[in-house]
Amino acid sequence: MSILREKGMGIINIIVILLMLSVLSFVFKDNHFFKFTERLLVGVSAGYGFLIIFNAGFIKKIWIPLFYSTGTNNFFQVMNIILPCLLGLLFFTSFSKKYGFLAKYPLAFLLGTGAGVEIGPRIETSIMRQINSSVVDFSNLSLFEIFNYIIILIAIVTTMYYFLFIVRGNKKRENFIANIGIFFMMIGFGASFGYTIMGRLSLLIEVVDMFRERIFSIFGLL
Amino acid sequence: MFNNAYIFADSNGIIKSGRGESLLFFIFVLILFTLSYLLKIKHLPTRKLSGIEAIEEAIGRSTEMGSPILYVAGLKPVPAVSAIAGINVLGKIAEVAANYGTPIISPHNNSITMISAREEIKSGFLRAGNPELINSSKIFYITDSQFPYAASINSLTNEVKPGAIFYMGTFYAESLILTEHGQSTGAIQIAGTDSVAQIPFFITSCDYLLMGEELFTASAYIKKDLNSLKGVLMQDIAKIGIILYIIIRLLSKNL
Repeated sequence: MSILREKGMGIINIIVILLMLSVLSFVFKDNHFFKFTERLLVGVSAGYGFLIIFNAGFIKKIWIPLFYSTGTNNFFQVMNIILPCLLGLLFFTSFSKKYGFLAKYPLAFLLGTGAGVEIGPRIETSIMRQINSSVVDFSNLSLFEIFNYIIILIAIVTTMYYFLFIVRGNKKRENFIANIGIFFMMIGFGASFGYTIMGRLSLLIEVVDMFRERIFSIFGLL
Repeated sequence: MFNNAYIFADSNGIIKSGRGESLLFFIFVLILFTLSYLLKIKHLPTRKLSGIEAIEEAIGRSTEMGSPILYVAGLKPVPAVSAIAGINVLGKIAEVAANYGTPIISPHNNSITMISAREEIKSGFLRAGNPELINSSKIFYITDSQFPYAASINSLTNEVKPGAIFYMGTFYAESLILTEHGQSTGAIQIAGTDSVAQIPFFITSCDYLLMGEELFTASAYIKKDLNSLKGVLMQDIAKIGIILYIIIRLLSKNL
């Protein structure tokens, strides 16, 4: 049994190495090996995604509550499941030329409710919390920290100024303030770029390490 | 269960820190909303957004090359504000493309976003008076997964060699994979995103970028109707209000 498992692992390692090499071959040129791996990846992920959605969405949220659960005896509870289903089914009318317009109703519902639901928390997280963390009590800070904070405050004000679209004109003085904002943004973006590249390099090191380990395991060196 | 019902105060009726500000903000937005209706402005000058102005140039170039246009939607599906803003820009792209008779290819990672894109492209082509050029099969779904989606778009870019590529919406780690490859094919690339972490990658590899709020404002810029522009004006006033509020609170805390 263990020999079979070892052989199986060996075959899996060979497949993994070949797939990794064919993906990396895209660095030089587009080729059939890359295309095969890409389509394999897309196909597997689409199939896997379908199964996940079918199981988590249809089976767990519709089928089981409607036919097997004892908690959905109430008419309103049943309607809570049936009505969204009917709304969702309207998407399929887009296949018909005559009734295709019906697909716009669930879409309008999703757009309206989605935007409404998302905007509320955004005010809290993107505006109120940012404002609160921008206001600092100087009494507990050292001179250097106060200086640091003043620079951050200038960055906040000038960056927000850059994102004025109508109030801000195209005059030289106004552009000067906006340019300070751009300067601060570029520093932030540069730092973010460097940080992400570091992250990507560590990913590459991990892949190379995995590659080495799998090759060694095939030849029995590990 | 009912704890969430206390919006500005906890169960003892004590106002929580930050909640009073939410109320203040809500009143401020209400005032701005009323003001936008009362203001009788006939013309609002806007500053230039190069990303919007370059749309026509990019599609024109694509037409000259005889290549299609590629529209790549972000990973967040349509109820997300960034996706809706992206779809609004797509309407303008479709209208210009229909005028030039250039086909649009648009792969998607979400079925709802795909349907929205189809509807917007149809509307754009109808507005331009070229409904016979609509080809819904070119607006298709690939997969929900992030990297297979990116790999598939790269492969598609290689096959069709688009003259212009638009990236609109929220992107994550796949942003550089997409744009770097798009740049290697020589296409004009215009991006619009609210993903702060991905903006550096778009700056380095795209020709034009609508960053953050520029993407959300783009639809008002495109429509150019007075009501939408009034909304942008109120946003500007809100931002100035926030700047003043921070400064006043800072002074009151430290003086």
